[in-house]
Amino acid sequence: MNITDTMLSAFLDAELAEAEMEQVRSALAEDEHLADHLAELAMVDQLVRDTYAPIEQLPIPELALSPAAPTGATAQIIALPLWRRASRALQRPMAAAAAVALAIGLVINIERGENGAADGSWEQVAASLETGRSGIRQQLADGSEVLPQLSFVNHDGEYCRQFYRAGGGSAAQGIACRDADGWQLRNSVPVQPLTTADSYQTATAHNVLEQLLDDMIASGPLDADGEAAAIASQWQPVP
Amino acid sequence: MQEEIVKLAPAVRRFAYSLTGSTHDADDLLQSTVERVLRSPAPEGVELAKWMFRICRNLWVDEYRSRKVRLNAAADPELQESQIVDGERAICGEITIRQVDAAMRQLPDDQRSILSLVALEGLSYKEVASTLDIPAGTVMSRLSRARAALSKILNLNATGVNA
Repeated sequence: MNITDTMLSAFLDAELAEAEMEQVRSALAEDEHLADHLAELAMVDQLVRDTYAPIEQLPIPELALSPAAPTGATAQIIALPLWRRASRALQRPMAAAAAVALAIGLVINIERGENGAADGSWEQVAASLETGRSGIRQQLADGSEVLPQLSFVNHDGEYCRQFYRAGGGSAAQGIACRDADGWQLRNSVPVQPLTTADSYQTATAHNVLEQLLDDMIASGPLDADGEAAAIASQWQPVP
Repeated sequence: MQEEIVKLAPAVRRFAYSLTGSTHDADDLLQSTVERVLRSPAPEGVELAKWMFRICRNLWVDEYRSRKVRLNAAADPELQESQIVDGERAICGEITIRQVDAAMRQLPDDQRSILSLVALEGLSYKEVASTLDIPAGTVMSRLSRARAALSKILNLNATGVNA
């Protein structure tokens, strides 16, 4: 009887029919090499356990357990990854900027004051958000750079924008919404400063940001015409 | 459901860790899995545990695996994090965590998932089959190939057996 690797592997898990289990047992009794091979396969499992089980020693992170997404027809839209929706809804230059930003996740901590404002130069950022088109970089007086990436309407009917900001060796990605008093920074995603070496870590930020957008966004991102109209209306809330 | 999710979190994170090889990514993947399961609860007749494993596996394939090539090219910087968990100690003779994780990275997605679910999570073939929505026979053959490949990569097998 030829005992295959597949049989031996399944024997290890006691997943063979009893007759086959017995065949393997007999073969193992006669064939020393086969017994060695079984031990090697068993060793693989042990190594996998020894490698990955130690994570149990670390405390479980605090989990966000409140379901946030709406149900029904909208949920269908929201379930789509944002970058895909963005690519579909936006005109090309904007889509490229938004998709690239989301995929690479250029998300670095915004230095926020107690009131949630970015810092002293928030007015300049706000001014860029007020008039700047998505996908077009703007240089601020302090030498930093703002790139509005995406505009959308939140559940309160306010216009909101996702933007990227870089300067002084750091960068940030945030979301701000326009109320009667002007642009208010709603959130930023704190991650370690991006370097080439740790660029692999950016998926966290990507996920957090996508979740945030999914929670806030009422429908898809504005297309170029919609954004232009919103800028022209000075971002008057959508009735 | 929230209580049950919290109860399942350690197992899902262990699985996530075996898929990503990074404690940071494992926590991240766990949180994404929890978010997804809250938005899309298990269909009727599907156990929550299996549903979470499936979501976790799918999210890993969709969102993490794309970074695999880059990681391999970058000399596996994430493996540094394994050492936080377990130091650099050899776990079996000369074989280190780093080597096992590097070997796991070489497996096709499904082989890696299946091996983790069986060896680490203790699932039966039937449970793996319903978790990943594949036939039990496929579980059996892929698992066998995963074990054989890992054994070969880690140079465990001095003797050959008919495949």
